[in-house]
Amino acid sequence: MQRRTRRILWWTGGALGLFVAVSALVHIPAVQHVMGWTNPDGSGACPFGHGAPRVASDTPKAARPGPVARTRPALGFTLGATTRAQLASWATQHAITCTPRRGATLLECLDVPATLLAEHGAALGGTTAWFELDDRGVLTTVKTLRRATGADPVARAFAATELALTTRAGAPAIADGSAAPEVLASGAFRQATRDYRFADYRALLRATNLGDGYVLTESYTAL
Amino acid sequence: MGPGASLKCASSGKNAFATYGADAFVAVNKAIFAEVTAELTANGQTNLGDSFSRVTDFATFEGRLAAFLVFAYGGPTSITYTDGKTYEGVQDMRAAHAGMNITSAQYDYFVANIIVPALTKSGVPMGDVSSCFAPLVVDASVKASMVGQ
Repeated sequence: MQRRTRRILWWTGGALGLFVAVSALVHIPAVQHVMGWTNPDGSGACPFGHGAPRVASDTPKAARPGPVARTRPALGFTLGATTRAQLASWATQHAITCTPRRGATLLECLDVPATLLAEHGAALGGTTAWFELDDRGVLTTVKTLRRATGADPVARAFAATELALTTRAGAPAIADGSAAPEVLASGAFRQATRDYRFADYRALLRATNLGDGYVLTESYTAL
Repeated sequence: MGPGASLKCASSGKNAFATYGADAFVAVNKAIFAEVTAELTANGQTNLGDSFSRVTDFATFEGRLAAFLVFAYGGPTSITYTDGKTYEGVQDMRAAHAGMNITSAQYDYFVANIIVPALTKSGVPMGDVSSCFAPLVVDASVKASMVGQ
């Protein structure tokens, strides 16, 4: 083999070897953490943008064009950051019964005291809360159902939540129906809806007369 | 007769099927599935329990639900749906929901966020929504046939 050819092969092999070594190095967790290459949940991240194969939950849920929300309120939890472990700790700390469902990507928590989910001003007792997690165990959606026998408390909770969301996230894209107690009470399935739609966040607030009582339902989703 | 056949719509004095006819029920049924699709794609399937996650044939499910709604609200015991197939309306709701372990809260959330919007967006006036549609949905025995099974 000619000397020039051997030299080319030597440098090529060396470059490839160096590339492999660097690639291995940047995927060592300790190196990733020292360099600050981390995901929101603290796990190491490839600086070149490669990582675990995308799973269905990583796909943006109906990502929309338009402005982003001023903030993404979710009853005191952080969409895209609160972890399953943090939720479990929260439940344990407050003696709340939460049941994992659907392979632990969903936590259903019953009879959550009103004060624990009053971040937006709604303080109805006997709330059921659902926490949806992605495959990394990170919170993506919070939903609640709060029940009351009368229209007045649901109407007050709706008004408080509407104000909080409009102030913190922005104006609703859809405002349908009146949550005035006399309107809600005028017949079964009377409903008021406020739909907050942003490029990175969606909140859906409803007050509904179910005929056998009234419910306030909330949904907060990171997009 | 279906369990909602005796409910009278405020606008007509007749039951829901006699007032609105099969085409309207098809429209409401399709609106229900549109709301379900929107909920699943935009908000996850958190509150729909396993009612929809276990469905493998949505086309048949849609036809069966339409047939059930028609019968329940005073229509015939079977219908030919938009797919050309015939579906029976007399269905055992307990058997249909067995093993899903739907909670009361999930049922309420489904009614508030799927059923009610589907009805109102389909143009049914609120007076009729309240008088001849809602009572069946919130009936304790109907709810009990689906919850906790």
